[in-house]
Amino acid sequence: MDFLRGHLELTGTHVGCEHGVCGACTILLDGEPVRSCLMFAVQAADAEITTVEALGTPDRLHPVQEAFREHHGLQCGFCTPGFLMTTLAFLREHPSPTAEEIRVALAGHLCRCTGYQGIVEAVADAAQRLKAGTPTPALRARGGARE
Amino acid sequence: MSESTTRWIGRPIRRREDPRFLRGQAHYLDDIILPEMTHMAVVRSPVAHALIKKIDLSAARRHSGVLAVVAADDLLGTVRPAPPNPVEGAEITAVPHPVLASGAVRYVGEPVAVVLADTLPAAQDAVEHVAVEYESLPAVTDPRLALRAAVRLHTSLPDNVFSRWRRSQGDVDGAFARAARVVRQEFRIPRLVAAPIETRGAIAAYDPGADLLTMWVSAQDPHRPLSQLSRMLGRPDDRIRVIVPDVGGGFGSKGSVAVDVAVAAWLAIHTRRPVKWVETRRENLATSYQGRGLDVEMELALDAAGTMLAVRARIIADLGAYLYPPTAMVPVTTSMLLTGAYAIPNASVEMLGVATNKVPTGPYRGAGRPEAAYLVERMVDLAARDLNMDSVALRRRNLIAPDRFPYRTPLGFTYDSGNYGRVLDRVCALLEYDRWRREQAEARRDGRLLGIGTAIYVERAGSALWESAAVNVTPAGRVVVRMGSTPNGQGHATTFSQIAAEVLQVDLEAITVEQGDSAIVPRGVGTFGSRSTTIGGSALLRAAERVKAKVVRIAAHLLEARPDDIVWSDGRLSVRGAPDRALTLPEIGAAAYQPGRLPEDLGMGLDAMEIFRLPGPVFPFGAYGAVVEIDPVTGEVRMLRLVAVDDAGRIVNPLLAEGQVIGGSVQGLGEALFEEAVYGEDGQFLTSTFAEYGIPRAVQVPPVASEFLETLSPLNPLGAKGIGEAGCIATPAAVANAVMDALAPLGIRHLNFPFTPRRVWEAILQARRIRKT
Repeated sequence: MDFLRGHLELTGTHVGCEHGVCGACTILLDGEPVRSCLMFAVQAADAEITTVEALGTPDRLHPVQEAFREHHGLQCGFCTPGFLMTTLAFLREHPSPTAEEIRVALAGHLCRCTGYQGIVEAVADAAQRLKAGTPTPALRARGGARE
Repeated sequence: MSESTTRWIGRPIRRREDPRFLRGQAHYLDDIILPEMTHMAVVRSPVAHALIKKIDLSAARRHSGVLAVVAADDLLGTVRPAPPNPVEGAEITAVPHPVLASGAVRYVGEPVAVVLADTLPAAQDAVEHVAVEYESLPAVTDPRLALRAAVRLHTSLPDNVFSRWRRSQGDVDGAFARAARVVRQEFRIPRLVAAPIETRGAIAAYDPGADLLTMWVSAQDPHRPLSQLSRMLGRPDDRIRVIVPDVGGGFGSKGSVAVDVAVAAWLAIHTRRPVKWVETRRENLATSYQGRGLDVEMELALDAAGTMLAVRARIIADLGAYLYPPTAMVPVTTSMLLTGAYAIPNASVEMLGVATNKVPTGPYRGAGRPEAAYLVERMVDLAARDLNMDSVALRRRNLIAPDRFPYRTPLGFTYDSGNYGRVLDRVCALLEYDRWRREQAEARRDGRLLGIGTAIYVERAGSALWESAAVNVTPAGRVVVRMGSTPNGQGHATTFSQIAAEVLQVDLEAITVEQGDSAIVPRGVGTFGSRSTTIGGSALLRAAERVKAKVVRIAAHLLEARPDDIVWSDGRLSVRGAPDRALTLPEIGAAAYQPGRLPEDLGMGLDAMEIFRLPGPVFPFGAYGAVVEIDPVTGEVRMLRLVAVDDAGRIVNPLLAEGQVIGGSVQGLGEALFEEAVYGEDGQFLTSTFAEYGIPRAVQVPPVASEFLETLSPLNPLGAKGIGEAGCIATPAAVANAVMDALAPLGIRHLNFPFTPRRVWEAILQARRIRKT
């Protein structure tokens, strides 16, 4: 996390607790959500890392991002990148989740603003959007290199 | 403005600010990196109460990468503590929070020294090398024990009492003497932590040539930090610029600057290097001022038919070791709201703000109002139980009638407008109150613990009764709005754009909202107490209307018509009856900056700055309902339903207002079910990580149903009242009533927050034991 934020200047990934509870620092490591505050940069050797900066294109939000906006799934926005990364991985494995499954999937993230309702609705809607085949901008792997 | 004509106000516009947050392009404090930046870490007291015998900074100063190590003596006479704000009607002994501890420490986490280093790890390592010799003193954490002065915290406080507030009106004793029923209850409302996901922090940079101190502060506005730092550092207020970047939540806790921020500023001035300070989560939980923390004895007198005659209360507020500027205010707000939504003619309240060996308290979302709503609404439910009446019927019987506004309460507030019966009726319908009561009767026959709770709240919003806004139309016809208040997630850029767009008939994309930089925005107040839309929005409305009037005059001049004949619709200004002769806002914007094209008596430019002064606070209100079921085996409280009906006057953006209500409700649910800042008897802080301090998670909370009714406030042109804290205010009360209703068949009359499984399970166990014997 220090490496991502400090060396790569990818500051979209945030530090909320540095003890692995709040989930704000979640990134994808070879597609799996991990808490970047609990790992060393060297542990990511040869792995592909995806951070929030990889989502969408300059002129278009990713469907998951669009759904978060549509459902007011963010307020202060600090926890949001972590939620987005977990949502991406979750929907890949659970394309048609129930509200209850979504709440369980997001249990590793703390949000102090939204009360989660907008987020849960956004994830359900994102599932629909992804299934409806909204052209999904390809994830651009940033695997350590600065673009 | 009439309802039917609004084009932007009242619409659930999606937030303009979202894309950059969603793309990871926001700039929170810790994302800001300045050249040559240094890092500050804080040495904090590991004990709750001790004399400082000796501080040895030498080893830390020798540590690699360290630039400076500073203790209280180094700051003597150059950085002064921020004095507590006066509170109307309260006697306060001003014991401000020291900048750094001098002579003694009085709570765990109190700043004792700071280390500045080239890197954060170097600063954190060097903190371990600051040697402080403490001589332990006994600590007091229970405010009731503190009142007996077994341990004294300050020589200026012989009885450990920082503040006193007392108010009595009517014949309270007489009312209690003739009452058919008196309900008494003691309550303890635990301390909470605001716990925004972004912790507090600041960056200080000093430009010696300009003698300008620039501060980036994760705060709720630039102006309060600016004036506090100006006082603390003895710097003129025009030689400090405060920039509030994107803020990852505040909830009251970022309204007053931490002492650490003043030290960072001092270090930047003295070392001529930018200084960054970002606290850890542990520091945030332990040393950010906490909320709530009251011990209350309350009595309610009623006649035989259930008419409320009088309330009497004694509040002991656990204020902690010192007074931050807003500390003393919060329990006075609670005190003044103890007649709630009810026409209770007689009331007497005494409040004592007491010193304990804990971090000071301060405003946390709701700031005094959740406490009041909980106390009043619990008393009503207890009265209903004692009188064997339905609690909703008892409420309805005692509400202040809609024709009695403005209504002056016996405790000193004047409620501006209200229709309390309407929100109560609506919440019962939304909750399906009668159906749940029938279901409850059945559940009870089966031995299930199902509980239904309702609560009404009235809250004071719009504190510090003024706010500023400036509107500028650029030569290109862009509208720039500059606001005195600052968002920490509320969506100001969208809400304020809607208000400006309404008046100036432009699309939202034509508007830029600038906020949070004292060098750009007009002097203002800030974001707290659910005030930004009501006061800032009204200032903006007025400023935009002034710009609009000037736009019309310029159009009239250019079109050679009278201003009265100018019609402004669909973004075009034309002459009545001659729609072809028309100008657009960009054309008028361009003309406004060309002297030859303006009427001679009209000044150049298209600018207006307005300060709106609210004549008095506004009083949002609402009614909430909760249904819970308690597992008798584990004590777990399961939320089956949570509904909110709020009346905050005019709602500018219902989507964002609903977001405030739902988010606030879940924070309120945290207070009711999970959260408590816990100290050991020795004053050690025991809930210093998110593993111990449990804020609600998605799996633990139900969907919240939210609805709005609109009783306009007569006190501002928008008719708005403020919605930022509503959910946090009413939810704990409604949930408490539901939980106690569920436990009623077991004979359990009262439990304090939070209703953790363990607390509820123990109560059930004890109740059953009593029943058996």
